[in-house]
Amino acid sequence: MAAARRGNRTLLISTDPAPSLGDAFRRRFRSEPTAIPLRRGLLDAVEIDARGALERWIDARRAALERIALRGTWLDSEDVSRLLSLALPGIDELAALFEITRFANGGRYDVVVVDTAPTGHTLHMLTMPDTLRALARVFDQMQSKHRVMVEALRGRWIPDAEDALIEEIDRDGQELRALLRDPARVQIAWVTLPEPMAVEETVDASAALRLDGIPLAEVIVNRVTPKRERPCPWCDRRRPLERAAIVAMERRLPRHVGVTGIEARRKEPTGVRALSAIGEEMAAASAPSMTRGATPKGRWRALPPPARRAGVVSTMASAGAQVILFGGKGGVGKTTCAAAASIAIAKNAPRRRVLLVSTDPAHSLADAFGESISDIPRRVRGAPSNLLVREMDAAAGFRAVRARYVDSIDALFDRLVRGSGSVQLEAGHDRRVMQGLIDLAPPGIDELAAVIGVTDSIESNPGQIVVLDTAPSGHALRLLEMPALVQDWTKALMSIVLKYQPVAGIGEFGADLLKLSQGLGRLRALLVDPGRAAFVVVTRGASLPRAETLRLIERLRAMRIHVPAVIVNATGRGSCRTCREEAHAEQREIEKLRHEIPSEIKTVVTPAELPPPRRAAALHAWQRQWRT
Amino acid sequence: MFLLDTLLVGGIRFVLDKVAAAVDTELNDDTALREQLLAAQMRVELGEMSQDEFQIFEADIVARLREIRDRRQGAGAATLSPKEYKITGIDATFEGDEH
Repeated sequence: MAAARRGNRTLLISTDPAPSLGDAFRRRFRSEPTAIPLRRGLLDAVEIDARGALERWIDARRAALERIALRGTWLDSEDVSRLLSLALPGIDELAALFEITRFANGGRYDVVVVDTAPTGHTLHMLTMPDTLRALARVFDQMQSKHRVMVEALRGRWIPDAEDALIEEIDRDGQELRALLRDPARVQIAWVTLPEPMAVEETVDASAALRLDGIPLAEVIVNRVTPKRERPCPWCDRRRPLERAAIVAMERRLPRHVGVTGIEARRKEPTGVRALSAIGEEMAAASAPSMTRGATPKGRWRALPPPARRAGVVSTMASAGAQVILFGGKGGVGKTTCAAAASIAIAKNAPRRRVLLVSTDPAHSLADAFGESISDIPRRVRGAPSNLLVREMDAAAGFRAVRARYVDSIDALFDRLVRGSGSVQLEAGHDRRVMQGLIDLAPPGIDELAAVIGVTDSIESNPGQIVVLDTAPSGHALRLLEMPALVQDWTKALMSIVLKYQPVAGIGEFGADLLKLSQGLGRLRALLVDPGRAAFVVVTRGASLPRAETLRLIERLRAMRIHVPAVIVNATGRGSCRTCREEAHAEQREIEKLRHEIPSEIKTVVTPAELPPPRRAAALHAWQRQWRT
Repeated sequence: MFLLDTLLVGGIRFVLDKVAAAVDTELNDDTALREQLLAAQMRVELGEMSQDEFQIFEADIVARLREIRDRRQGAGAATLSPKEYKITGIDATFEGDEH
């Protein structure tokens, strides 16, 4: 809005698969620009439909894509069109980039503002140009076989539509890569909260961006507690803690990164007027107000509401539970809740192994437990010994899967060469194409690794309870859709393997596919079994998280996934006027939520605590204050 | 004519060699049977074969695997070498218009 007011034709795009733009403006947006009426300036908004965008992209190039695949592989047109019709895992980031480019190059706008998905997936999106270029290289290898043959027969090669497509993909990748690294054309502002876990994630993200050579322009710290006229146990304690978090972050950020503070509003800012005031505050770019003084010692906790405590844990984890997912909007405290609940679940079931796994590429479990966590499950200090914690390393998981398939595909080609008998078949080219394809890290790598990792984990130890700390809403849903999607791919590949069985045999590749498909089938059955799987939604007592929670629950129920409870996290405030107003608004939101969700879903309320609970002992003490 | 005969007979000989090798494989190679079993499992997973059909198929394959094992433990593998058969004649039928 600030850009539009200054005379720029502005487009606001949300690339989050669970967009909240509509909630913020109290309007409905679509995948094509909708005008936001302003008194001055032009502002349109779009919520990207990733699947539609990718389908549009493929449809426009389908013929050339099919021809490249036909020329470069052993597959026939039936196989190729079958594979092309399958949904691609995790296409949101790729489609988002295509859409941003489409609108930015359309000439209709001077400024394009992109509201991205949460941390991990945004970092992925920013590295997508490299994936595009890698894809162009594989296509080029596929095409080269055809080029060599035509050259040999006709004496020369005239570039065709397929060459043009390969060049287009490579050029798009190259241009996007350069664009993202050009501070004159792109400015990246990271939005965070003045809380230890959020600033930790910001510092990690800044380091990841620097590693990729993408410049971070500024960090916006949202909801900074302003100075109050009267003493307040919440605000007076929170401000020095916020200050400490911001100072620690500033120290670890590169010097040129500006830090802007946005003060918390008394009322949740929705609608044009409230948002425009924030826009003007950001345009004025002031550093967060810093109060001096020592951080108060000890712990402050909002009074737990007078309600039932019994059965909080058993509500979430029934006796036969095997998988419990924690998910919700970004920044609501999923990780803290999942960590605290896991401790309680492990204490409740001392004979069962409880494995807490973070599948969010921007992991926070290490921050919640105050110690380093890796891809190898390990115990944490102060937590029950039957609790193991793991932060899934998707890249490593993918490397392992890739190594497995590289071996079995190698074996497949060896058999092809042997199977051709006296006619020596030149399979080296196809082998390179297959390896190139396998080397492409798919966009949905995190969800893919999580699904395969969780399947392996459950299959190898059926007695354990797996608790998943998922990435924010849109990506948690993507994770849940992944088993079916990957199974479609494994089945399509199995059909192809069977079709070529007389020539190439089945071998390990087929056996691997069968095992994966069977495991995925069992995982899918498990996820829709209310006795064994549950999805606990974490939210806050505010209107934007409530709207997202309701949509999430609706989607989960449509997928037949059992939602036993919604946790309204960090409720209660201090005693100043603003705190009292906020607490009232929060209560109203909780009441609304209770009425709007299906009656069988329990509402669990957790008290706000300062400093936020960290390490096993504090997490457990805090969890004991949860109420239904 | 000589060239044609050589090609024809040589070609048929090549095919028969392959058939003999395939028969040999069928008789003695448990890898092929295991692949058939795997293929059947894949067909079940793809919904192209029912569990009942699979069970009948599996029983047959298991019986044949047992036969191979017994044969190996017993009198040694039965082999059909291409040298042990002789081409006695070719029966060919041509269809369509003559030009």
